Amino acid sequence: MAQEFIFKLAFEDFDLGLLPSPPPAIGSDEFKAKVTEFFANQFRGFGGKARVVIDDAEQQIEVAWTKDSQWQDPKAKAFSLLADGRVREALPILHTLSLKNPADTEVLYHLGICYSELGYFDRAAELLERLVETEPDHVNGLVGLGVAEISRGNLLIGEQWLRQALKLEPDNRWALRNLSASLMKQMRFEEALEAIQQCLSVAPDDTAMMVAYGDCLEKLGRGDESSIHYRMAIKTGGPEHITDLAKSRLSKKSEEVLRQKDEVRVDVVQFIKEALIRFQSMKLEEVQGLALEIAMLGSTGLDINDSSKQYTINSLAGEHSGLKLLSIMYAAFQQFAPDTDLGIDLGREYDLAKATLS
Amino acid sequence: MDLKELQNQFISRVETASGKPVLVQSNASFAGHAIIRLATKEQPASVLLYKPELEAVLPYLVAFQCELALRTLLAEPQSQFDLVDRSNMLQEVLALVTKHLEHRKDIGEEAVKHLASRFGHGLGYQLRSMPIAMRVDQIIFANHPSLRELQRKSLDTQLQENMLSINPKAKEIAPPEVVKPNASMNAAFAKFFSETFAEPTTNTAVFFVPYVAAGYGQVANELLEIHQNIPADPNSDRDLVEAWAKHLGLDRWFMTRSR
Repeated sequence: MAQEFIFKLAFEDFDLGLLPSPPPAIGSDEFKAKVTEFFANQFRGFGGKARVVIDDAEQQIEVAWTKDSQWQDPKAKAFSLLADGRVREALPILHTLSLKNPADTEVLYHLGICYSELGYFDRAAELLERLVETEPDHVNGLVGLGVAEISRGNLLIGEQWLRQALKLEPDNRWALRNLSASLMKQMRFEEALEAIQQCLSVAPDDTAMMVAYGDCLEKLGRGDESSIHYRMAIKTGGPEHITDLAKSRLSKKSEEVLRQKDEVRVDVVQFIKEALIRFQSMKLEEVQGLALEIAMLGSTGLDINDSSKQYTINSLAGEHSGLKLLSIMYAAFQQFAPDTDLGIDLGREYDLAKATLS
Repeated sequence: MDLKELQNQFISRVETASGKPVLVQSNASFAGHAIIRLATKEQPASVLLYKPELEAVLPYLVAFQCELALRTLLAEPQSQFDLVDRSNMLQEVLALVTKHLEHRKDIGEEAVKHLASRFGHGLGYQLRSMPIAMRVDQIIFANHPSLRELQRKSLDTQLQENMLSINPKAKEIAPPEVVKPNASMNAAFAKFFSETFAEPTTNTAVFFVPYVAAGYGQVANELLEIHQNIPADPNSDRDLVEAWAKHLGLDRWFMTRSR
């Protein structure tokens, strides 16, 4: 029999008479452990490999058995699912394995991390605490526990676990990363900055830390130093949501400078007015093309506060300042997608330019 | 003799016994694995249908269906029988299924009727065929070692499919009065094959473990005891089916009738 043989059974359908007396309550941890043991014993005599999975969510037991030598045992199967990011599928297998052998710290660690990733932080903290009690030097376990505690809102307890991990492994980037996040939440920006710098020294491509660096500097009143870190995050690339965050921080900073005096920018009104005149002789597709070309250029960072810096684009001859291009792009988007969030509001200038023209 | 020749030999035996040719046809829409429909007096030929996906085990399927047909054809006329529904069967099954699914607003009235008919007739078909199938498989196993590999392959598939009767999903749509006899017969079938094919390398006993875990171990033993205590000749098949029906409480819905 080379094929895999699988069956499922509801908790309530399992014959309790097969378990030693007194029978455990259906669904209890003792029930799950004994059922797992029952099937393990049943299949042990058949050779091949068996996998018993207790699925708490569905209240059922799944058993798979095969003689295929290439078949993965339960632990290998769970780890392979985790490597594919299939945390929900790995969870019941790990849960069953931990019932079968509560002392298996490898299983305990991954189970704790699974719960943490799925947002069950109380359960995650409980399991990971059990892990570090058994194995106090389990650095990843300490980091996972720290993260779970922080996520539960226990910032100081989480910090303690992360610092303990750093004592054992001072360059652990995940400990440093999460420690800095926790310190920032506690408004302890000086200390956070130290952790961020240390993290970047071991993981120089960590764009999330670059953004955090900029944010920390802002909070410490050193906003003039922050742009370089946001720009570095954009230049490094990486996860899109982090790059977007860096861009939005830069846009916000630019707008703040632009709006320092809370006055209407006459230069912007003029740029928009010229653009609107130009649009009258252009087809809508051409306006869209122009807007998108500027948006593409802007995605790598347009300096709108330094008029000496000039840019060139294909859709418009000559050299232009960042502020002028931004004004043209804003006016263009109003023609075909006025609800688009461009990260900066030039509505007052646009209305004035339109009023002047009419 | 190769397997193709053996297959033709089985067909010839049925043709000789029935006096009519047997047409072997694959049919993609056929729900089971294979079936032989013996020609009535008016029909010119018998038809053996099989699922195209099972082409690889066709010699065994043909052997099985022909052996099954020969049991009917060669039984004494007074022993030949059909299993028929009692007049209350559909009505009672429908009432049970309707009650069982009353909370399932997603299953409409027509679907409930369809399910009740499928469950009721399915139980009848299983009762009529499963105990006899075990006899037939035992004969093939004992007399045709060259078919054993295909037989085992086909039975592995069937035993795996049967496992659905104890799956939690089965209980969701079928009432216990349907699930229990269905799973009980499947348990007996699994135990029978775990013993028939009991060789160190095959481990067919694994198929019985789930039924034991689900509490069907005892009823399987009882059905097999009945099976063993009734003579294995075709003239006793009616007694065997009636005894299983009585033991499972299915005699309230089905009865045998002489042909």
